[in-house]
Amino acid sequence: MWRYIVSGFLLFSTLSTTAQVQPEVDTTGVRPAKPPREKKQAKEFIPTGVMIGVDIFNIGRSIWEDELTQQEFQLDIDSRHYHVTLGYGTAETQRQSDISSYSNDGSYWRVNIETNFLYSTERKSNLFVGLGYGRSKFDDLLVSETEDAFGTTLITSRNSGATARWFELSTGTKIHIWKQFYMGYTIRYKFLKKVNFDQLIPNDIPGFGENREDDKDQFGFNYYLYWRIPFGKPKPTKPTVIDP
Amino acid sequence: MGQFLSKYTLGISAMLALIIGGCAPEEVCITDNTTVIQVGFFKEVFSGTDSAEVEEDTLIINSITALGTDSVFLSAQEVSQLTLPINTGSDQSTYNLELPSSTETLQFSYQVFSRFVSEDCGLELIVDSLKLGQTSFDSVVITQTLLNSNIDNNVEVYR
Repeated sequence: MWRYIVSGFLLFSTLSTTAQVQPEVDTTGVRPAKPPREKKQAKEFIPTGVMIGVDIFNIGRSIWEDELTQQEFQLDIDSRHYHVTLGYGTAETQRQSDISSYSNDGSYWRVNIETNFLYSTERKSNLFVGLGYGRSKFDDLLVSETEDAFGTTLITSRNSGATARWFELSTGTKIHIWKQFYMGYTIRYKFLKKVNFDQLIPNDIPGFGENREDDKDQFGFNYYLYWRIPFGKPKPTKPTVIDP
Repeated sequence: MGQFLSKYTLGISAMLALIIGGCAPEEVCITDNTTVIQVGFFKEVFSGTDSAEVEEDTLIINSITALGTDSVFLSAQEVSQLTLPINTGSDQSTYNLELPSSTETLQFSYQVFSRFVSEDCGLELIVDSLKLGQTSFDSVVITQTLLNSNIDNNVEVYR
């Protein structure tokens, strides 16, 4: 469902571009007419730039946690009030106990629509809340020994091409640091998870987190470094007037 | 200086909140899922009218053995309920009940799901979709398909 909303939003923003109408030179002293309301609203949705981000929080986790290797990239298309963010990541997990080992390897993507509360700032910093959708595809393997009345059994259980989807609420910031460089964090609440698997109940879902039976929802945290590529030429600055 | 602090205050406070609030709860390695089938024995008692009541039945069992193992699960007991461990390495288990005057058979099929709980707890097995295969008893009913410690019986046998 979110694919159609995002596609409609991008289509609308493309079609709503209109040529500037030069105001008439008024010689009668009558104030010129204000621009039509429709044009002002259309400007809200015209993309002004794109930000490319990398999540350094999960890169850090991958370094200090032996069990996890994860990276995520983000593309943020911004207009005045609204942003569409597309994220893509990969994750690999290895977990070990005395007699069991579990491994998980997969990728995920997510799309979020965010409302920016700092749209009036020239520097394009963000304070946002958003709603999003994520999907994951992964393989996992469990190898373990069990003992029962029938003796010792080696259990090998796997999923090939298991899938999961979830929805998420997000909030965070993207703060202008220097020139086109930004930094910011995103906190996510992930819910309404649905997992499709074979006979191995997945322990981890790439992009979502742990697949816990007693805690179906998950919180997530990302810290991004961004580089912004603005669309079009920057606005010229006003010349400094020097009193004679 | 104020601008610098404002840029990083939100990020630092968010990280602190997550560190403090995001600690994973201590893992509890207790589960209600089991790998044993609870079997109850019942009989119909006619009270003289057309209606019949169901009562617990008691069987004298000399021994219970299973295909795929030399183990004897039970020997020389009078029981109204049995606990039969399943073969987790297979999707089917067959049991022979040696009674004083006959040998009865119970065969079950099931699905075994496995789950890695944690590094501390290790593996958990979840057995579901219990179905009856071959049996020599008159009437056998599957009442619960999931093997769980919170239920009375998965199987009810009527003689």
